[in-house]
Amino acid sequence: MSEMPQTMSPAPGTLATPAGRSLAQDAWRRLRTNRAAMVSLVLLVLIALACFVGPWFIGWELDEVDWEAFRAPPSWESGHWLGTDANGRDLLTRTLYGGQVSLTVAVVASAVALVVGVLYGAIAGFAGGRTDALMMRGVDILYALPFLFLVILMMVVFGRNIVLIYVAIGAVEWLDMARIVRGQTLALKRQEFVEAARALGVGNRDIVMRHIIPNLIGPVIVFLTLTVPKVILLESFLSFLGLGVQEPLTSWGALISEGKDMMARAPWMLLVPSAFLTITLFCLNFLGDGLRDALDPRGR
Amino acid sequence: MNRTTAVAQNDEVLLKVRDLSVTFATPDGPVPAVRGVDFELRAGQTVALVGESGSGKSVTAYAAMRLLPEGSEVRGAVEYRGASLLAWPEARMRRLRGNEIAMVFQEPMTALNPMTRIGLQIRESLYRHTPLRGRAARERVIELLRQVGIPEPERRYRSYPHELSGGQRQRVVIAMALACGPKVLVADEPTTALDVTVQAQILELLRELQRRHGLAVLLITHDLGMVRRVAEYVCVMQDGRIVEQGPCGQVFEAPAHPYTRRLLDAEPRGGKPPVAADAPVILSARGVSVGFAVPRGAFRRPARFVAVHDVNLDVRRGETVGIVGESGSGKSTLGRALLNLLPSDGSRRFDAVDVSGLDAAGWRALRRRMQVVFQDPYGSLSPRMTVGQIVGEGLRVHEPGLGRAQRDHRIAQALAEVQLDPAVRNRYPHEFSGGQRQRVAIARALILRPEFLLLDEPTSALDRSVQAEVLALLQELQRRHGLAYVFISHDLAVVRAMADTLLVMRSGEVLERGPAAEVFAAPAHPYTRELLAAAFWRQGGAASGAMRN
Repeated sequence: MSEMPQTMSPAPGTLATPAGRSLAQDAWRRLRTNRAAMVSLVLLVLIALACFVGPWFIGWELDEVDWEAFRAPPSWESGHWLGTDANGRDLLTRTLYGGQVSLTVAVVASAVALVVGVLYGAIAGFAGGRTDALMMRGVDILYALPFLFLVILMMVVFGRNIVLIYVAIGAVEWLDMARIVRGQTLALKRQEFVEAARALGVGNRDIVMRHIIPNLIGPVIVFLTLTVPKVILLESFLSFLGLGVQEPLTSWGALISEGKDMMARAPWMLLVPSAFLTITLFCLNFLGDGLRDALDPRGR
Repeated sequence: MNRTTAVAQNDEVLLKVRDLSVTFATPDGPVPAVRGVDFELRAGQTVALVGESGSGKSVTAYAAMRLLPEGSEVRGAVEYRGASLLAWPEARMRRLRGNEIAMVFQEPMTALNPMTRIGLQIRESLYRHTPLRGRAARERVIELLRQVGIPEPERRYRSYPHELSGGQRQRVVIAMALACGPKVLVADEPTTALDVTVQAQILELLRELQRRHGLAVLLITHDLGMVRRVAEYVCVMQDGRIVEQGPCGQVFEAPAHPYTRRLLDAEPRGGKPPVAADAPVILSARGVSVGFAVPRGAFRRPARFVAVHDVNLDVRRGETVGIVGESGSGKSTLGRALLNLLPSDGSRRFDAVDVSGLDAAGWRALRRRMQVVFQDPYGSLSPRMTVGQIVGEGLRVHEPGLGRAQRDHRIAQALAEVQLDPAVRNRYPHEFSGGQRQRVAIARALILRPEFLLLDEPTSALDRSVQAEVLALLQELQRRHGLAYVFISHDLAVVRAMADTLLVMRSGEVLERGPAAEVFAAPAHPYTRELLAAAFWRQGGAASGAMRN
């Protein structure tokens, strides 16, 4: 007890420390020191900028046919820097436009999975008992609906619309997330810090928001980095079946599936969109890993 | 001392460790864990490596067994019967481990495979190291189970680990270790995860087996009482060095090194004078019962398991009520029921107001007056909140009008009160030691200026010397603020030092209650006597060297 007066001595009010750092500030500081994640972040921003702004500067239109160059290989002189497709349309332009669709699908569907899935799963897991059972049986029922049937049904009811794709994919992707989050929440809510919060009188909503969800970040981010490529491929599958984007609009998935038919005669038709997709997915994975580490205060 | 006779017959040095150093490679550069350790282990002898967490005692043993992970650098010499182990190829080392040198670990549940019958698990090491097969192997396993005191070994041969109690599981682990007739047994905290009465039995078993087989035992522990009771020779470790070693009696009677003296002084002692009989009762509980529904499948009514049955309890201002019992006695459940963290039957009055029928909002208001500190200083702090956020959370709930600067000020005050530097409040829990984390947990409870504090095993996850500091802090805070404590613990020495009233629980019922001094001096219930005998069996042996055995 003898050293107590000394340790108590810093007079409150004259403390030299800053008032407080948020988890987000800390995370950003840590993320910046992670070179792979930062390079990935820059590349992703560049790819997104290229897809959404780039097409205006290239000089070719999405559906503009160059009658001189069908299935032409990449060349500087002709102006088709990355070649043309079987119909003489500029491949770079089409890839960038396709990127708009693919990236939007990825972002929208992942955002739905993130927000709906995490909230739904955390609430079900935290509430437990009958609420949990009811909520999760609801998820089971949605799981049991065949995905294609759902999409076709929506097409019939609402007509063909690109937004429908986003909604349909989002509506399916959050189910996995909800299950994973619920499982994690069941484990988390038995931890003593949750009980300590209850003993402090913290309300259920604040416990879920302040204590449960921040501790779910690790598995959620890992799952999100798996969801994004899945969503992009799911969209290409729908497009392939004729349920997704329609010509002349395109997407990376659709371009790749066109390109694979021409693999022998015009390999660039496969390679160009594949390269864009692969680089994006790589960057997302590195960024996801970096974010997970950065958001964990135990990391350094 | 019949053990010494065994030693005399066979005094061969089995394990000799010379100038052993271990360095771990970490992202922050090399970290030395063991720095030049020397000791030797003779047949029939028990040598204890004693130290607090981080002292390098386990690392020393694991390094000698070559069980450390990649990336750790081991220097020095380890000789087993004259052969240098550090130079052996891994395949030869594997034949030695389990065969000549066996290990017993702390946690009997994780040391056994939950999906395999225990008989098969023991048989596996027979198959690996001996020519015994089929019926002969089975008979040997049953014989081993009988030796370690498992009742009905023929039937238990087919049991799964979860069907056994913690003590029985540890017995099975010991049987596995003994299966191939080892010469050396390395026991890493073999009883730490067990109840006191079971601990005593397991130690007794180890000693008897040692006597019978002439085993050399390397005992790794933080528990000085246990060392005193079972070891002949003790090495006290601190920061990777052996600061003192010698025959047990000598080290305990006349400790030469200041660290040894500090460790010995850290054993809780003394008692708390009872509060005045007319001190106002702050918390009063009558007929508290807690039952849990045990699901029995989707279409059957759940069974009801009664964890706490009809307990009455009064806590006065400034009083500490100690609740002791072994695991499963319902003591923690009772504590949670008192704070309404669990639904329970019975009535409770707080500060002479009936709070039994209070709704959620009413309880929320009451929570600032009754707080809790939990056992696990790692689990009870959210890893993603700063210490300041953790400590200040109660203020956000109960004093939402407080400005940011004021809240920060109160947080700094609360941290200073538990003797932490307020500048730490922007750091995260993982940056703190166990004792510091427990101080954070206490600060979180105290910032609301409660009148009643539930302490659920607040020091059982801490080292002895840290435990002594935290207990002193709790006593100081109680004196300063007139706090009422309910102190739940399985550690009778700690309860004796802290409590003025004692409740002894078993199977959800209170078996005995009374002023702590009286219960310790003259226990009335046979179970209390058994508990006390088991807990102070070790100290009893230590009272004088002559009393050993």
